[in-house]
Amino acid sequence: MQPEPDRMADFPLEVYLMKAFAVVAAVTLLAGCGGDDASRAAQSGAPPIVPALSLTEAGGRTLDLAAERGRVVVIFFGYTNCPDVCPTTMADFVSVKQRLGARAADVRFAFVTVDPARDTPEAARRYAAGFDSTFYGLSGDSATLVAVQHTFRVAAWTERDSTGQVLVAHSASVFIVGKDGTLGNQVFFNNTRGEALYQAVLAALEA
Amino acid sequence: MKPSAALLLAGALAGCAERPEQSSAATGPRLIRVEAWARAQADTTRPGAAYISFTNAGTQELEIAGISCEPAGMAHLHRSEQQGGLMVMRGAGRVAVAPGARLEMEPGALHVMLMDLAGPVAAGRRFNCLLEFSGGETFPVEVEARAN
Repeated sequence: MQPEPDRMADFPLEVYLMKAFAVVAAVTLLAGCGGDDASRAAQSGAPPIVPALSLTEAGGRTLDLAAERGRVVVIFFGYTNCPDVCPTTMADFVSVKQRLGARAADVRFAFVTVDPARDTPEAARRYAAGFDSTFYGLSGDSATLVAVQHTFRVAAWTERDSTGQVLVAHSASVFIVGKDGTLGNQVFFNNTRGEALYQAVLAALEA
Repeated sequence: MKPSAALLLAGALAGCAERPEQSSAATGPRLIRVEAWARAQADTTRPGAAYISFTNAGTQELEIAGISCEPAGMAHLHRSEQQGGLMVMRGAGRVAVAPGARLEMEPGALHVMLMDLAGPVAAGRRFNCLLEFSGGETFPVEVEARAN
């Protein structure tokens, strides 16, 4: 994971900090793979994780987790140039919202970019709104976004391959912040993720 | 890389998405259980994805040498894969299908990345892709765009 010297000039320092953090986060993720953080925290006696996110969308709407107590917030960290996993997950959001019906009023859905160099606030907003006008599409400066990821115990990194193509690594999980502001179920990307996400959101609403 | 009109016509005549068997010519590659779909996408400023699965019913290995799709200026095979707990998408590298084997493309795995979209891909739209194999053979596939 160490940056190659000849690429150092191409990327800002935070990218490498992000990559370094990714190793830590990946180890964390792997160590806890297969369950939800809240359950593990409860079982281990560790305090619940309370993620922090306050980002203003292009256009002025702000999503501040601290102001969302009493609502469930569903968050995905991705990037708009991702044609596969990201729109698949956003389509899951659409499906879950439809299935929730009126109960969706107590749920916020948010896309947070891990690629702020390309995803301007407007690009992120437009991307999320393309799936549903109520979905948040959030970007910001790299340092702020890295700090947000840190509170969710995740990370991302960006680099160019030998052909110049931009590679982006990000968590493919969906994170659910409960009504009490603690990090609950983490829904992993697999073939049953759509149903798993719906059930996890439902459980968070009924908690 | 653009499929010719003749090949597009052949694709249209050969069958449609999820038709159990398609064959471009008597002596060409024999692909069966072809299932092909793409995610509908209105925004042309970002790439899209198509998923083409098939079984190689022929007697020779089929190595995909390239692919072109009607709405995209450029199409590449890409693969999303987990790396250290994170998801990364990169070029798929060599993709070969042994005789009798099935190639599955699906979200979060192997897919066709559609770049430089010429226009929106609306749900319900059908468009043609052309698989090109290392032996020079080609195979037209009709792809259906879906909302989800």
